[in-house]
Amino acid sequence: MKINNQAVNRLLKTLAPVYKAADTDPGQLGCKWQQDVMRRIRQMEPPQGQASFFQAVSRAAWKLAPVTAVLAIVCGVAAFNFDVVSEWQALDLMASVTDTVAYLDFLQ
Amino acid sequence: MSLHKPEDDDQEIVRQACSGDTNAFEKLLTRHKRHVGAIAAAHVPASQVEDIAQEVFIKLYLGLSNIREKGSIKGWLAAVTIRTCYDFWRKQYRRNEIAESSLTTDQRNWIEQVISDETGQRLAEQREARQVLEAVLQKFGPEDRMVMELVYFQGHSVKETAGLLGWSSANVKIRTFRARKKLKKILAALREGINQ
Repeated sequence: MKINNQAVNRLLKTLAPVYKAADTDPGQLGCKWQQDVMRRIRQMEPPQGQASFFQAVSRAAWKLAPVTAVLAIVCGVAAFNFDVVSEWQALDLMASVTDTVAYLDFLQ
Repeated sequence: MSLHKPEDDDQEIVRQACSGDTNAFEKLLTRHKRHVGAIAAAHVPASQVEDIAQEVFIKLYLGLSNIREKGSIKGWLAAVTIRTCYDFWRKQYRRNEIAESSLTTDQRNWIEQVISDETGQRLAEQREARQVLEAVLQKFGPEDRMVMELVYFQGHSVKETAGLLGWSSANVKIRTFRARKKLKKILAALREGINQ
């Protein structure tokens, strides 16, 4: 026999008061519990207030510092290995060289 | 007539606690521990209520500056307690610490009586009702369990449930639908067991 929506509704309707009637008295949160919690709280640092804009920026900068350093090293190594000719150097050379074939050879 | 609200007191105490006054925080704890305890006791086993409540108050202490801006502590505590209970069940399910329950013949018969339209009030008072409730909830995952408890047993609206769990309303609707479908499956399986 198939279970229909009515059967599900009936079960849920019957179980709802059972759930509500269950013992939800938090009587166990007594003095000893409170003392334990407060002991833990007192051992902790005071809660941090909302950080100012400059504090937030400075924290973010420090967090990003290792990544930036790694990127700088990678770029430096790449520039050294690939022997990159900067645009201004190329332009300077083009302006001074009259032999275009030699210039193109140089660029290659 | 005084227009002084308890929330105003809370705000003043939060302000003091934010500046490191732990005695002020203790006032907050004393004032709200019953509220937190009652919510936790409704969702987790009694043996876990203390731990859950402790976790909630530590979260409150660490998040005091946010609450100072947002306002109502009671609402914040309710949502954080519900989410901490949900986290508890997630951990339990991840560790497979949920006991697999099989229903006794009496419990199966009780379900059969409920389904076949007998007066619910009398049946709800029977001992089997509580046992069936526990057994049924154990068969749900943490998400479905929380949704079942909040929507069907405690009568919260979809919007309220979404707010308490920090989910979208659409997610709660989907979960509610799936939980219902799963309940149907569970009932069908139980019935097959009875008829065999």
